[in-house]
Amino acid sequence: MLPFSDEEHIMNNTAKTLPFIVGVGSSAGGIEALRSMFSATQAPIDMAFVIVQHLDPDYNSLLAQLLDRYTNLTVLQCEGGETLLPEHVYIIPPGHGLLIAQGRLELTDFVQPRGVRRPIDDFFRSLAIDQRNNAACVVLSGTGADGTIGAQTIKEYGGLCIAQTPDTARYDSMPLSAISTGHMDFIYPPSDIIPGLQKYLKQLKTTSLPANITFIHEKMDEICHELRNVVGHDFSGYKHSTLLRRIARRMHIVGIESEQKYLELIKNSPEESQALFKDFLINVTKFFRDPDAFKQLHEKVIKPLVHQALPNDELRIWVPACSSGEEAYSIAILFAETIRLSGLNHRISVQIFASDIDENIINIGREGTYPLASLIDIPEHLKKRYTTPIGDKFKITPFIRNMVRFSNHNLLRDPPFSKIDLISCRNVLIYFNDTLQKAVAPILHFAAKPGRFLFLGPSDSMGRFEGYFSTIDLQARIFMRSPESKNYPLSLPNTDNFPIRIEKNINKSAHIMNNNENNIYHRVLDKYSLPTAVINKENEIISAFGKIGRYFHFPVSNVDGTNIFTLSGPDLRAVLGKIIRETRFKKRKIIARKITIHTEFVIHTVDIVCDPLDSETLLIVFIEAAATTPRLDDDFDEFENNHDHIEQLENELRHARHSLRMATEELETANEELKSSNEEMMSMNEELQSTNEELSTVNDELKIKIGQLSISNNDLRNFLDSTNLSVIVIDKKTCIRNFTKSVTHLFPLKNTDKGRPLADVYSPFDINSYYLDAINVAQGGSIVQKRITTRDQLRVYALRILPYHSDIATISGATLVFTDITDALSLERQLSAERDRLNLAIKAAHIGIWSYCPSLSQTTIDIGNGTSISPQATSAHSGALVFPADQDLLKEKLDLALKGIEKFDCSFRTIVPNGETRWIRGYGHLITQQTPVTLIGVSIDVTPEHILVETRELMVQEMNHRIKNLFAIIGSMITIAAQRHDNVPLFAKSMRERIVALGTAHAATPTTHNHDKPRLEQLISAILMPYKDLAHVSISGPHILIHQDALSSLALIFHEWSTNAVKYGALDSDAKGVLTVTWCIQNDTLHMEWTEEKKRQRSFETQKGFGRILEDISIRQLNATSETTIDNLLFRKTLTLPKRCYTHE
Amino acid sequence: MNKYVFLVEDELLISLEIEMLLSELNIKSHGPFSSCQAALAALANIDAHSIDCAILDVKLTDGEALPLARVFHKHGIPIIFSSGHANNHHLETYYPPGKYIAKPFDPTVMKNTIALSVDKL
Repeated sequence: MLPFSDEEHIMNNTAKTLPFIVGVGSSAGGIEALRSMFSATQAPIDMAFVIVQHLDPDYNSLLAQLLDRYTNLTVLQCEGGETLLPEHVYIIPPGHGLLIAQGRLELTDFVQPRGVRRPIDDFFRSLAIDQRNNAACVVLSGTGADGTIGAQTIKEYGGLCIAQTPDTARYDSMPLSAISTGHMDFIYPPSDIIPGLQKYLKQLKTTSLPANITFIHEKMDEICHELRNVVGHDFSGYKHSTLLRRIARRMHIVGIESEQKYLELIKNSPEESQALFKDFLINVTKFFRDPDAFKQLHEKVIKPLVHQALPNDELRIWVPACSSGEEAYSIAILFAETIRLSGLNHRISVQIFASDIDENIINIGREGTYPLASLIDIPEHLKKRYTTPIGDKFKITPFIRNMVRFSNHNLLRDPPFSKIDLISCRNVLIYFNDTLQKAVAPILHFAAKPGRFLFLGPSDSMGRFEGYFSTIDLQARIFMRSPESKNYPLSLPNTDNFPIRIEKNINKSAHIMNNNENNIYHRVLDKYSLPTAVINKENEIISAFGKIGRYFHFPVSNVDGTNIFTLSGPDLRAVLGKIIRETRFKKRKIIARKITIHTEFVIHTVDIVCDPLDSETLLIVFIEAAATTPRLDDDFDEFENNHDHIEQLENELRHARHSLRMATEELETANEELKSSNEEMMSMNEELQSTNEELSTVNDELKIKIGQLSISNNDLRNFLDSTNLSVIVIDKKTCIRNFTKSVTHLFPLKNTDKGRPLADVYSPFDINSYYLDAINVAQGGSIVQKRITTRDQLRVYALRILPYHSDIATISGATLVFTDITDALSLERQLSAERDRLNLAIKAAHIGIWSYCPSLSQTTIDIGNGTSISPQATSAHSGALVFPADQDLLKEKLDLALKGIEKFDCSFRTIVPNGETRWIRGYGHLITQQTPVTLIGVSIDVTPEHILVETRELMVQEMNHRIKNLFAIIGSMITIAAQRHDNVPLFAKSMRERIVALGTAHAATPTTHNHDKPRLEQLISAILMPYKDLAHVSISGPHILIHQDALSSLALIFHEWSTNAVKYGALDSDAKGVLTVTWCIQNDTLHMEWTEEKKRQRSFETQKGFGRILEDISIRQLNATSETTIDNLLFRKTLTLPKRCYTHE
Repeated sequence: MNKYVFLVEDELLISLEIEMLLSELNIKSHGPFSSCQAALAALANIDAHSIDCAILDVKLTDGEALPLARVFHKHGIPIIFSSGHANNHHLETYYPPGKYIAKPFDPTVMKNTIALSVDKL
């Protein structure tokens, strides 16, 4: 029964932060069940799961990985010390047991050998104790019975128990075993387990227990009343706190929130009543519970009882509320062992009455078969002797079994057993309230013999027992009945009987109701009936009524003490032997009439009736046929002679029987030995089975793993095929382990080459270029990256040699990756050549390349003439200053460009550090694809172009001026000349010629080549051009350039001179003259000589009129001097020009 | 009383024409001077009050005639600028009551302008 536990604290004890904890036990075939259990899981779940599986201790379990794939929950392999979190699944690691303490998981080392371990039970037990009603257990597929005991403990502490539906389990013995206890709250297929748990948990949370309790409390009496009607037991005297909790638990399980509804359910559903009844009686007991107390019991009670017992004494022991009988058997074993070791050679019979009110639980006791897990509790030295293993269970030996009588008996209601030597009533009183406890004390006092013993549980209170029992050992809770007789209120409080609806109890109730009749029968049988004996097939008297003793005599020896033949005198023995044999043979009633029985003092004459009760037992009734006569001495010999022969036969028979018994005993010994070998075989089988289980688990895991592996392999192969990478994998000894298809273009490898040394394989490379590096890397060196060239120098490959990691830490080879980079290299070279060319062009063109990043306000110049632009006035790099007038324009253009409105195109001036002004034209393009947005552009120095334009403008202006000046001169010339001329045609002709001369002079002025100074020689020959055929003209002198200012005047002078020469001088068409024009530079002045020579005599006339005036004015204008000399045939004019009029080349 | 015009013109033919115009108007002249230098030197020896008008060619052999213009303006002598350059019109506003005559000039216009300028005094 329940150990001491202050149930008031159960709720408080449960750490509020911990999730609801579900222990899951599985074994063979468990993976399948676990997968379907967890695959449907939907978060959020306020539950943590702990999976305990039977695992091979030497095999690294993949369960966590396998399960992780099927569930949203986090799956971890437990490492010990974890605090449980919701939505986590913790899995037991191989080679360890698992416990939970204060919400933390603990790994334990196995103490028991393989095959006897019960990790699921161990964990469930610790879970129950640690988490109480905040826990549930699930028993899934598996062989054996692990989990059964644990589940009972869970239930006992208020937790929930679920078993997998056996027909869905691959191996159903674990769930079947659990279900057989009758403690399972739910039986579900795996996929329904978690939804079921969630429903339960929801119920548990929505109706928090303390709130509910008061309501249930009000209904408690009603519920007890209903229950009494249905199952016949009144629980109203039980401690309410316990009952409340169990009712609340049932309500959670059936999903009813209102106690009123639950009450109705109980009224209407006998099944629920039964379930509640069972829950009320949750009783977990075990062998030798509280070993120390048992030790004391052994020393202080059992040993004295055994040793004080007289021959044929019967020791009577009563175990009320025996539950499944473990306690009764424990006591039985102790008695048997004590008697065995006492060395007493007389027989002491021990009768143990084990009683309980739950018929189902009593049946478990009657079976005497328990899960192997319970075996641990039996001390080692008793185990072998008193138990027999059967598969995954063990059985109490028949010897012990026969010592215990189980009966359905209510301690409070039924008449107590009496004359009891030891009452063991452990952990029963704690369930009873004060009133009941008071009631129980006199009952136990009544039952016990004076001076005999009471053995209570550690938490049973003795307060109400004062005066009835005195203490022997308080620690072990052993008490002695006070010797004085008490006056009890023997009208026991609960002796009134209730009608019971359950059918199977009807027989019993009839028996109980006729309690008083029973006494009457006994009295009649004992006092007034014919002497009758009942014998079994061994001919032992198992019961006797009436004054049967008068026909038998009692031998001193204890051998076959109850055998009817041993007890019979010779004459009775002969008759009985015959009549019993015949009755057994014929199976009919037989009567032997007028049999005389000689006893010590009298002679009886009786009819003996032998009536077969059933196939084994016979009823033997003695009926007085005649009056008893006193025995006479002389009769002695007579009878002795008569029976001598029979006596001899009987002796022989006994002898034969004796040897038969010896043989039987030997046979039994042999049998025992066989049994023990069988036992060993069983345990081996056990181990094999557990190994098999582990293997099947491993097999399942491997199967899944192999599936994954083949997928990975396919992935890898496809990857390698698709990459076209040339890869060779070598091992530590540089033997080829693997290679890709594309590497066969380089190395002529075939599949059969795997395992050959790399050095043996021909390659287009020099072996030294890769082999040593490969060895180095394979033996732990670092990554090698290099270029290698084929022997013919045609192709270049990039070679990467990487370490091959079989594990993270260990290097077990190397991977060689070859990449053909010949084309890439040639491309790279081309690119570099292109880049060089571009750079050259940019440099030659003085193009500046710049990038401007407005967000960073950063200007970068790449190459060029070092001129960059920047919105800031100065360029930090070149020091050039943007011309102040152009700064605004530049900024505006940049802004537009940065906004993407138009491309940057701007001309502006900069002042370079040496003070020069340079014209710059910049073009830019906004790069928006990159961040930050950058403006990239070029700038070109356009200063020469600008100078050209400026010059041209100047020249145009100059030309304009000159022309206007020319017009002004012509205008003045006309005005002045008009005053001198009367002859208009002559005036017009001469003016026209002068204008032509001015035009000619002007035409001689070159307008290009950056100088506008005509050559003197050109000017003269142009003016003389119309006359060149009239005379021999020679023009010579150094190269002189005439200044623009002097040009018109000089032209007019030469014109006047030539017209004069035409009229009067050498250029006259008749003159056949020679005109020589020379000049030279002397003392920074230009001396020019105009010499006319005529063949014929002719006067040279100096010109007159306007021409003369014009000549004079022109000479004055030039600041020049002129002289004229005339000599017969020679006419010479000299002209001296100052420096400002010419330039000497 | 004779009127005097101070004539500065580097083109002798043109100054000859102007002198003709002046003689028609019965006006005497100082000059012509073809350079600024020469004109300034001559001016030093002439009583400024005797000058009734100055005719200045803007561009002279030794540069522009503006230093001369300043002197005349200081003395309140009206100036007639004559120039071949198109953009010298502003000068007449700088030195009021100046006049500007673009080269080549209409002799009548020149004659009238001189007559007007001299009469103003």
